[in-house]
This record gives sequence, C-alpha cells and structure tokens, in this order.
Amino acid sequence: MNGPRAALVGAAVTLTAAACGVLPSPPPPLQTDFVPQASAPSATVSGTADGFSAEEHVSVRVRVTKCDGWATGSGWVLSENQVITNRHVVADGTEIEVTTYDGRDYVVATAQIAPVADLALLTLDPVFTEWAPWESREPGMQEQLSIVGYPEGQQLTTTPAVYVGDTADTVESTGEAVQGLRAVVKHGNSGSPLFDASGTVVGTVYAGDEVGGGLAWSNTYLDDLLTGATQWQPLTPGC
Amino acid sequence: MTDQDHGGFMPVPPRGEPYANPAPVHPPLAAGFPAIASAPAPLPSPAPARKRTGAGAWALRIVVALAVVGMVGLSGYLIWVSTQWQQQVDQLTDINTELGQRVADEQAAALAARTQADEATAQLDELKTRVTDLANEEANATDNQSVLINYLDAMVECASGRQELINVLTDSRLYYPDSSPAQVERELVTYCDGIVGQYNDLKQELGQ
Repeated sequence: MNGPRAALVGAAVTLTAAACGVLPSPPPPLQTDFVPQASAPSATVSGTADGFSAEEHVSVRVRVTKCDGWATGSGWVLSENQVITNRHVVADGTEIEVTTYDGRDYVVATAQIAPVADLALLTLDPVFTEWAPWESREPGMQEQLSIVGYPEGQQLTTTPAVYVGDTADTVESTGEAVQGLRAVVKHGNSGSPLFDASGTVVGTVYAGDEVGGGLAWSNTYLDDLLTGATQWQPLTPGC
Repeated sequence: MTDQDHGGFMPVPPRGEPYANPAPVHPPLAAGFPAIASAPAPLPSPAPARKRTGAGAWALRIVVALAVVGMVGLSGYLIWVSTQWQQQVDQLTDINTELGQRVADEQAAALAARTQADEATAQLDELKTRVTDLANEEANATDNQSVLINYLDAMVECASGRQELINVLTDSRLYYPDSSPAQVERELVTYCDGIVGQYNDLKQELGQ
C-alpha cells in the first residue's frame, strides 16, 4: 500500500510541476500603433505637364517660302537657337519659319546645309527652352523607334518605326549608309527626329516609300558636322 | 485472559519495571504432527503497521488539501488569464474595426482621386488635341497667307507690266529696247494667265 500511494503522490506532484510549464500566460501589452510608416509614392506623370510628350515639345514644323511657292517639313530642336532638318526641305528657300507644337512661330535667321548628308542646320534667336537629347549610335535590329513630325504639313503626329538595318542611300544617290526603317513616312515628315524608347534622337528621317519603308540619316553625320570634321555650307536661295 | 494465556500480548509491567522476557508459547500441536522445538513460527507484529497507516492518511489528506488549494489557485489564475486575453481580443477587435473603417475611407478617397485624375487626363487629352488643331490651323493659315502674298505680288507685277505696255503703246517716245510690244504682250498674257490659273487652283483647293 505504501508504494502505490507514494507513486501516486509523486506522479501528482510531477504532473503539477509539468503543468506549470504549460500554463497559459496573460497577453503582452498591445502595441500603440498598428499602421506602419509608409512613404508616399512619387507622382509619376508620363509626358509633361501640358499633356504633350517631351518628344513632341522638341519637334517643330518647318515652313519654307520658295520662289515658286512654299514647302513644309519637320525638324527637331538641337539647342536653344538651333534646329535640324533636311537639306531638301530648305532648298531654294527665301524665308524659313519654324512652328512649335503649340503654334508659336519663329523666323529662321540663317540656314546651312550639309555637303553630303541630307541635313540642314537652322539658326534663330535663342527662343527654345527645351531641346532634344541625341546620340551617335546605330539602333539595334528590330528596335522600336518613333517618328515625331508633321506629315503633309498637318497635325503633329507620332508614328511608330522599326529599325531594319543600314542600307545605301539611293534617294540622294550618295551611296552613304543610312538607317533603314519599317515605317509610314509621308511628305512633310522630312526632317523628323527619329526617337528611341528613351526619347533620344538617333537619326533624322529624310525619305519614305509607298510600301511602308523609310530612311534616316544617322547622327554620326551630324556629329561630324557639329565637331567640324565636315563643314556646313551656306544655303543659297534659288531666286 | 491469564498470565499464561494472554494471546501473545505481554502484560504491562508497573512503571519503572522492564518487560519480562516471556517464555515462548506454542499452541498445542495437533495429533500426529511431530513437534519442532527448535523452529517456532513467527507471529505478525501489527503495532508498527497501524502507526504508518495513520501518518499516510494524514499525508494523503494534506496532499489532497494542497491539491484542492492548488486547483482553486490554478482555476483563479486561468480565469484571470482568460479575462486578460478576452479584453485584448476586444481591444484588437475595436482597433481592427477602426482600421477597417480607415481603409474603407482611404479606398473611397483613392477611388475619387483616380476618377478625378481620369477626368483631368481626358480633359488634358482634349485640350492637347485642341491645341494641336489650332496650331495646325494657324500654320495652314500662315501657309495660305504666304501663298496669297506671293500671288498678290505676282498680280501686282502683272498689272505693272500691263501698265508699262499701255504706256509704251500710247507714248511713241517709249519702247522696249530688247523686245517688241507684241512680244511683251504675249509674255505678259502667258504670265498673268498662269498666275490666275494657279490662284483659281488654290481657291478650289481651299474649297472656296
């Protein structure tokens, strides 16, 4: 009798002691704030405050008064007082004006043309507050690009383009390597900037065909002209 | 019960006297059994067992009492802990409800802001289109103005040429040194008819 009782008491004591180890504890005090600190997301606005993209801001319409009429083309702002367009746009021009995306007109003071590439440099008073970033690089094959200009002298239009490799210039018959594009290029698009996805100008459009092909001059030629490796020539009016 | 037959118990001696060493008492042997004088059977001694039983009972009572007290204390503790948890659950429920309300308010505000942003974007797109159209209309008007000025200049030149021809024809002192009036007249007619034709083409192009 003594042994079982002692074992029973021992077991009870052991169980009690063990139970003390698993007794539930009261809840810890509540934290004072359950809302974590969060930084406000930055307001990401595509384009600019006026609804036009940065590419549209730096694309201009070029109006050229000639002896027998007038012509329109496109161009892009290189600096606060310079615009790049095509040589054939300003050829025989007696008066040249550029119009911005919002309708502001500026008269061009002087015009210079490139000897080989179909490029022209227009100089006017320092009126521009924005100009386009540009690079002398060849786009990658099938790279998605965009042409921003004034086809047929009408509304400012952004046209998608795909780079399909270099090809020889047959329009101006110079034989120089120019950028081949798959894009709808119309009259009036001449001189349009060719933008890559980051908004950098990688070429200047100068020709198109009826089957969705386009051509652009690489900025390598522009680089040579701006650094003095190739000399600009003055534009001589035809009349 | 006598001194010789006391059932195994010893008589209690007077105070101060020691217990006598009793002679062993044996029960009578049954007939037919041999007597074994040298190995008497030991008798049980119940006195010490009775003492242990009493202590064990007390110990058991004490253990049970302690267990009861422990259970009462444990129950009280568990009730207190349960109450604490319940209170915290209530607090968390209140906080959760408040946070849920805040989330709902924020979602409603975000939805309203998104709707306003969409409306503003649509208005901005509309304004952008309008600005583009106006810029285009102005540019085309300027283009047409330039052309009209060119035509006007040409017509002024045409009129001047005709006036000069009239002067030559009406004043015998005047003449064309490198041409004849008839030749000049033909050239003027061709030039002026060309200007008029282009002007009419432009009017037709402009829908007027």
